Amino acid sequence: MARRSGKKVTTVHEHPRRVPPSSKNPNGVTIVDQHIRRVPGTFLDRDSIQKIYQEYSRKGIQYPSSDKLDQENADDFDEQIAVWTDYFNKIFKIDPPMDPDMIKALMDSESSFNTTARTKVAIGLMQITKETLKIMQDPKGEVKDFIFGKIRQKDLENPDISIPMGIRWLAWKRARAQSKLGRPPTNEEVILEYKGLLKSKSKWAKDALDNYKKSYEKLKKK
Amino acid sequence: MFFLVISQLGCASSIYRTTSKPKEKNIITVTADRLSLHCEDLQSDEAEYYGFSIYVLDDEKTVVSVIQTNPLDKESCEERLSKIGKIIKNGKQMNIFGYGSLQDPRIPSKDMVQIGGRSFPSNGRVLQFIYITNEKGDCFNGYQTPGKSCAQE
Repeated sequence: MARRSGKKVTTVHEHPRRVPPSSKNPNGVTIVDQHIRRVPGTFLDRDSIQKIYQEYSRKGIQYPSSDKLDQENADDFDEQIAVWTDYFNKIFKIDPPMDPDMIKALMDSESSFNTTARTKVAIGLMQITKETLKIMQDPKGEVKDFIFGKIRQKDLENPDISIPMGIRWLAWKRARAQSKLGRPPTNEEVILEYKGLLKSKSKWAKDALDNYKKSYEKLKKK
Repeated sequence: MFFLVISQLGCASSIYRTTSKPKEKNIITVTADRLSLHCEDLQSDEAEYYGFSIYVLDDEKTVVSVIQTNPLDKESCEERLSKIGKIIKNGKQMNIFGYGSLQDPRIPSKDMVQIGGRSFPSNGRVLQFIYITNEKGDCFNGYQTPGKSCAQE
């Protein structure tokens, strides 16, 4: 039925599919046209995000530290952070792996754990921009090796969606920082790259990084 | 860099007072003469990003930074200058809410900030901006959650 046409997609040939009988398909069979399908492990949409999250083995995965940050709801997203950090560390074989505390401190810095935080261009916990949303769903774009599909702007207010997307984007930013610097980036350089500020010399960037570091240190404090 | 100059009031009415609540939630109570609002061009190599800061002159004549810690587009940053500027102009006394520590030692830096026509050194203290109110109830929340009152978070 399906033939490999590349690393990330398969071409599904025209084939019959059973459907409820109707005036259009009185025999209960329709013909599905040839179409492209992403190979599992290179694509997520709303349904597969939910399925993976529900079925993902929690055994041995690392959770972020809890009860350390200031906001009342700071620990509400720990499980999503743990699952999706582990998932993308494994998918991309990231070494050293991304640290769940780093994701949590970034979330603090981006939205103060406010799921519906919005500016004119950025939305949600991880403040994913409308432009980034397009890039992350473009099968020919810069993150074509692992993309999302059927995600709408309003979905970014849903932590179940915005967290895996934010972590996937952070993994890409990590690779990009390495490419720009010509060496493995520090965690702080990855955070600056996520914010689009790796080369910025501004006072604000310094203050924002300082604020991030304090959150991260709180999470690491025993 | 865009910034809003707030006219200086008489020194006799100048107030700077801090209240720390549990878990490093701070309230800075302050008069307009000690405030300066800035949208700083972050010179990002990716997009036109701006960083929003409220600089507050403290009782030691050093400057605390209260910043919105996510980069903003130009329009969102200027919206903050305009709306918070109105809150400051309408009020005599502002309460600024932010997360972070005001107990860290002051470390005066080379970064100088203009407040009321004079330059003061930053002191290394940075709070994450949450919201600002005045005594008339005018309020602006940096994260603007629909359906929630401004000061709720």
